[in-house]
Amino acid sequence: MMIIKGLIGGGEEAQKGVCEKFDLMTRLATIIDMYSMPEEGEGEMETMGTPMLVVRVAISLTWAIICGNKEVKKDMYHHERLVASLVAVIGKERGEWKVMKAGALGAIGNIAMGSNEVRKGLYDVEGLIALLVSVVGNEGEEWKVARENALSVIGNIALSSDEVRRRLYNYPDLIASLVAVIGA
Amino acid sequence: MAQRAIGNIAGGGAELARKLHDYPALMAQLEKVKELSGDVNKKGREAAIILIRHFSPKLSPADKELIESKKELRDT
Repeated sequence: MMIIKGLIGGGEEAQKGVCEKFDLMTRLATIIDMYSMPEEGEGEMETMGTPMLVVRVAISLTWAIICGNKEVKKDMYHHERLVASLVAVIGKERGEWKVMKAGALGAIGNIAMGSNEVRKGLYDVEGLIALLVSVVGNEGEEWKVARENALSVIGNIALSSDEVRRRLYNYPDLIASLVAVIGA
Repeated sequence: MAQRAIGNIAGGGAELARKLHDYPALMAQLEKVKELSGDVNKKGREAAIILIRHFSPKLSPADKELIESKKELRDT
């Protein structure tokens, strides 16, 4: 994975090429899924150590891939599992998941920097806005990166359309959470 | 980032901007951030100023009339 990370550092074309050649999105989604989906797997995973690092690298790699290329962002959004896998990570509460949560939010934030179609679609991803509101409501320095990344996702989704902006305004607790952060 | 999100939501038209302007505590929080000092608060301060400007109520027709009449007085 570290070699792949090096390869995608070679620019937008390299990113797209590496993604296509190795079906990278499916592989990353599989790794993230494997360790994030089953609740009962959490305890087991935490004692295993290394797999946790693998998931962490997979999330950071996902984040890095989505940085530059708009087409890659769109492909990632349309991938059958990737966004759902990242949302599942954001929903985790314990231990090292806080760090992973910040990474997954960063990855979704980068996807949300793509087209308006993608931004609109993200609003409708099941559970995402509720999770974003809950992350924004977390206080303390340990949540700073996750909180900032969640705010960035909300800000990007709000760029999509007047309809989405109205729905965000009316979303329970969302504006109250934003106001609370400004005053903190 | 929270101010950017609010600014983007406020971009959804005059009605939304008005609702946000009237949202409890929002303007007070922005005024508070505007008064913060130091380099570390520079970005937040600037974002607060932009949002306050964005939310400032438009001139009423009566205000416009008053300004126009003063202008006429000055011109003569």
